[in-house]
Amino acid sequence: MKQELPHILIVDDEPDMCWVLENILRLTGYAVTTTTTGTEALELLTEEPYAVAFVDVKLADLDGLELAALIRQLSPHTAIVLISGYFYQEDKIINEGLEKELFIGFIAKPFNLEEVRLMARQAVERAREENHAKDPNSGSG
Amino acid sequence: MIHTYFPRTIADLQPGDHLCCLYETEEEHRAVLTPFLRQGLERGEKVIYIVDTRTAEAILGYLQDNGLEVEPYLASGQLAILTHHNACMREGIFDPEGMIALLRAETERALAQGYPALRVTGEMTWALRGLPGSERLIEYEARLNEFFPGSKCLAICQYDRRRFDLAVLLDVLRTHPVAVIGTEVYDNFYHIPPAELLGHDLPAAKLRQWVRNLAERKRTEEALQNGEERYRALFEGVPVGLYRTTPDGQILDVNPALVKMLGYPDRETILMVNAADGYVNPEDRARWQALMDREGMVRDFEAQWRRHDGTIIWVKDTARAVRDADGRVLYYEGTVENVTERKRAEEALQESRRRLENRERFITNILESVPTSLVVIDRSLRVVSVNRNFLEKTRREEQATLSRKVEEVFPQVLLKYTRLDEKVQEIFRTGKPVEGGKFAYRAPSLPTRTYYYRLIPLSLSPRPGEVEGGVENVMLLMDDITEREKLGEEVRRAERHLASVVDSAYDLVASMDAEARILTWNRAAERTSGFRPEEVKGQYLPGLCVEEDQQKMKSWLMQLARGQFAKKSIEINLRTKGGEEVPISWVGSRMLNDERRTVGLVAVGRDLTERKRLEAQLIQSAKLTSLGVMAGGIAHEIRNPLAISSAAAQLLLERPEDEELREGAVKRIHSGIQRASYIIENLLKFARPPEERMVSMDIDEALEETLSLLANQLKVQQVELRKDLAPDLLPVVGNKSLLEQVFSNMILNACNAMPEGGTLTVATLATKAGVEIRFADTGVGVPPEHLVAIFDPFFTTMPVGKGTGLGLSISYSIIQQHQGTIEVESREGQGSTFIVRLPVTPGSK
Repeated sequence: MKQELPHILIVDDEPDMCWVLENILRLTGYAVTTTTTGTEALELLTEEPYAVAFVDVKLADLDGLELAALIRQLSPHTAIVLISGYFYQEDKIINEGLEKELFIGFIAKPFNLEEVRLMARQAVERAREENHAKDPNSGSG
Repeated sequence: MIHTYFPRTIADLQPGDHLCCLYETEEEHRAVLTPFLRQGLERGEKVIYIVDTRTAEAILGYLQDNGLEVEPYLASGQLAILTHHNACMREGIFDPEGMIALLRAETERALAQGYPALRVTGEMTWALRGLPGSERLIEYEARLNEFFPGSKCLAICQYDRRRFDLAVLLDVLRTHPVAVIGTEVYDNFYHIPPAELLGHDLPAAKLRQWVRNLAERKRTEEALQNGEERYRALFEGVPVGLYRTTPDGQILDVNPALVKMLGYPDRETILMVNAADGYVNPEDRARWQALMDREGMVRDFEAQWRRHDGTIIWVKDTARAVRDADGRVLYYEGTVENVTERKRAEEALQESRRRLENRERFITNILESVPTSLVVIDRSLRVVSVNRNFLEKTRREEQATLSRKVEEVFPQVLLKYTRLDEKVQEIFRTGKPVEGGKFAYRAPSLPTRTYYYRLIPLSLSPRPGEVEGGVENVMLLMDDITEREKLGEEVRRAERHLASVVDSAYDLVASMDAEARILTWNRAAERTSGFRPEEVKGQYLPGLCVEEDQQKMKSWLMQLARGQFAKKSIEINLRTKGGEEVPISWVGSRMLNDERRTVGLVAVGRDLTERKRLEAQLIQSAKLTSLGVMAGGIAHEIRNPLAISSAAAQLLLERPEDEELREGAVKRIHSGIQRASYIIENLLKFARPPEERMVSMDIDEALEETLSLLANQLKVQQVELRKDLAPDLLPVVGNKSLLEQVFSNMILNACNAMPEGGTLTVATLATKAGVEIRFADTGVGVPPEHLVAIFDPFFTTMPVGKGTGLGLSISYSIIQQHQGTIEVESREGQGSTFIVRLPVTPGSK
């Protein structure tokens, strides 16, 4: 049943942050892959589909918002959740991104584990809905 | 009888003389009558000439040719030329008694008119015309001799030898006591007294006369003999020089006195000399000769003669011509007096008189031309003398000033104010001059002028035995000082103005002599130092500085004084009266005199207390500004470890039994908290007010610390950092936090210059003078027109709200405090490089 588990990609330039998120989600019941660079994230996305991508806004090589836009193009079925210690929920740029559906959710650091789990669940559902709406014949999953 | 009076020449004639004149030529007539008439006129006598054969014009011609102006004499009636007819022929008959009575009456009349005598001469040719009474001519002539002696009348009866009978001429000779034959005057011993002549026994009278004449002749010869000897003795012994010379200059005889006077060895030597050669000036001889020819004599003729040894003497020469019977000059005889001494004395007198006159004129000129008014006042307070300057200045007339009383010359108010009269009297008493003072004087229709006056005693020269002469006069000197006063007033006003400018200046101003001794000390200096001007006057300025800087101040001032290159400004702390230190920034200059020698120094100091405080405030506020900029980056930085720790802690709570998870979580919680506290620590370090003290510090280390604080900011702005730090840099003495602020300013500035990201290269290298730190960006660069203003406070090209524009100016001031420099090289579109240079051994600080 391993294939049945929703696959989540975590992109954060801090390995410790990756470790924390991975543990939260893995223990919740997701398949989790982590990377610290945007470039690698894009590579991973081309290799297999991910239901959700948790993206940190500040990366060493790419801006998180740019990366989000690229993921939208590359893998439209992947739901994106933005994580940042720089921005806040009220920030204009975050609201704009949410309205444009560039990403489906935003988590400000530091956060509660429940926030992450809730966001992951919503994202997976959303991704599943989208898959059904767009491709009703693929209906086995 | 022996004549005691005996006329020798026409000139010797006197009232009472009765002469006949027998002449043969017109020249002889002229030669006798001209001096006779002239002498009478010149002696003031009434002169009557009775013409017969000649005309009045001819006679007047004698006198005019002789150089005499006759018109005044004719006009006054002193000279009258009459014809015989209107003189004595009124009745057409010649009457001796009537004629003599007439002569007597005329004499009386002349005397009554104030003439001393009457002088008459007549041409006797009328007697040849056979008029009635002419036969009584001789009787008349004889009787005249009873009239003349003792009378105030003298007469010459003219007989032309060519016209009269010899018998008549013989009688004429018998009737005149004095005869002029030709031009020679004779004592006439053929004269027979009238009583005998007119007596009945003429032969007896003649015999008596002849016998008398024989006796007379003998006696005369004897007398002559004795006279000759006596004359010789006199000639030899008389103390005046005597000579006899011929008209051509041959010396016939000289007496010993003259030989001696002229310094000749003997009489014989002098006789070899021509008299004309004895004159120093040949024209003197010519003048002497001319006088002699005209007058027949010279009197008191002064000339310079040359002595035998060549020396020159002044002589006075009186001489006459001695003629033969035909009137030819035989020789001249004369007396000579040596008047050299007298002449010298006269000349000396004249010279000293001339010198005195010159001196007087000279002094008068000076007094008249000095631009000072002079008034001389005598004991009675009257003005004795004034100069032109005084009259001009006071618009007074000389006659309205001289010998007037002082109170008439000067206005009452002035006298009251100056008490001039009292002072003048005081000088007469004490003999001491008085330095007066100023007074204003207004002459009519002129503006008021200011004078400085002095009073000076004029003393008589002291008499022998006296130390000082008495005061004769007092001189008042008045110098017009109106212009000077006006000028002085202006100078004083300018001085007051300058003094008030200096005094009201915010900066300290101290003027000093060339040795740095304080002369003036303005109010700001007094305020700052607490020392009053009189307390510091004469003190050396370095002595008022803090002890450790006194030498520095001294050498700086001495460099200034010598005109050597000296630092334009210098920061030296002043020690106040209360003992506090006040930081002062000094600028100095020297004052030069016309010879370009330093005569003084000026130091202007600015109290830096306030500035230092403001500067510190500014730096702090700028720091807070950059803190704000940093905070953004730092917040992100700090939220990451917080998020990690927080999440890890939650995991730990959820699964305390999971060993592996617990280990990982605890480790990350710890490291996250460490990271957060490190960031906060750095931030606090930056925000803390700078320490006052300078320490020895490692530039590379400071750079690393700053960069680590800003690493996140660089990352956010996509700025790649390249570090090219030289190892083993010498330590720099500096304020670490201030320098770190400069570095962070440089780095943030570079980030702002690269909005699209870029590369920042931070390099350090050791130079000869110290350490060089370069911040090179690849940004937009600075336009050349902004380069000049880039370090000015509040200069910014950033939008409002982004950057205060203080960063670079504060950096500039901090680097300056470290005795370093900061400069920028930039190319528009390619980037800028800021270069900071710091000395490794900065000044004494």
